[in-house]
Amino acid sequence: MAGADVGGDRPKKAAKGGVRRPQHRVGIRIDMTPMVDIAFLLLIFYMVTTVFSMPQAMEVNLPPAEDKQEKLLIKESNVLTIRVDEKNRFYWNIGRDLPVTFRVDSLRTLLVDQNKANAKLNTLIVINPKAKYKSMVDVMDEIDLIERSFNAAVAKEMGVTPQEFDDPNHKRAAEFKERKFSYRYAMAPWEDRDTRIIEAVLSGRGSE
Amino acid sequence: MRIKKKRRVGIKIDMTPMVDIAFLLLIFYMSTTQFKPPQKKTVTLPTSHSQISLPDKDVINVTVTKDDSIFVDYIIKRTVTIDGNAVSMPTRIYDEATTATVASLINSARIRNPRAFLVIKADKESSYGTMEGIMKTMQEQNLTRFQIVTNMEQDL
Repeated sequence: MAGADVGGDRPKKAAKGGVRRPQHRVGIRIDMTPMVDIAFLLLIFYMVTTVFSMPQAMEVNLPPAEDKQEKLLIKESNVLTIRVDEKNRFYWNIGRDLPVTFRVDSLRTLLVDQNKANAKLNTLIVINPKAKYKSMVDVMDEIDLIERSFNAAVAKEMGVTPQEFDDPNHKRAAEFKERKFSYRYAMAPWEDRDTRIIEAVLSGRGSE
Repeated sequence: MRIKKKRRVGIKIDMTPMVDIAFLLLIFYMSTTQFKPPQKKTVTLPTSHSQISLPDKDVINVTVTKDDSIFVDYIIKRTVTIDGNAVSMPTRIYDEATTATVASLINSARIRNPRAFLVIKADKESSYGTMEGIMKTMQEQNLTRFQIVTNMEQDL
């Protein structure tokens, strides 16, 4: 097929009429099919390869190495333990109470409620090494959300937006830093004791 | 009864608007597209609600795959002599690590680029034990600030 066709049906008409027009204007028709084909091809290529959601990052600040840490003794009744076992089940208990299972989605409400009930509460997170990394991210994300909602409330109280509150270059940054809330929690290694506690919970439920 | 056969009409559709839209979309995708950075290992990221965007320059990546193998990769400027002229060229260093050696690898990368951000990219199916080990060795080497990569959580 020709790339460009010159002339339409006008010359025919002219011939019929018998009038001779040697300097006839020709209508140019370009076959655009190949170009459109390529355009669609590229369109499909870009649609398939494009990534809209670039990954996000989560800030983590580890405490300094253990030998440089201060040792603090905390009353057992002030310790809320969150355990994640190797099958990624979540358990919580206070002090020496028997752990209770819960779903990750309810972690936020659980932490908020427990902290309201006891202001001196410390959270200890114990995750089984065989559990999935996702569980750790879930827990940290929920804690991050608590901090953010709390800080948003503080920011509102101080008459600034949460973005301004987080801005380290803001002129009131020092003042904000003082008011900034960060959730008190620690991560402890999983010990045999934890395995025994979880086993006791599971066997207790099995006999019911 | 005889049915008169209708004359077949040639259908002509004006495709101009469609092509216009196609080009519009093409231009949109061409201008907005960002290619995924090359990855040697595929990692399925966990999701979170975090809003911090990932730095795209000066990054030391620690990748943990689904089967718990650890890789450290970063870009350094290496001076290469081309036709007698010293030219600095970015090169990607790719090292396999274990939970015990990861921190020293990161530290040697830090010496080359002290401004670099430490980014941990772990598969959501990888075990927490690996991550725990990495964090422990990093803590011992005073690498206490880092970022973990997540995807945006999709709430319904």
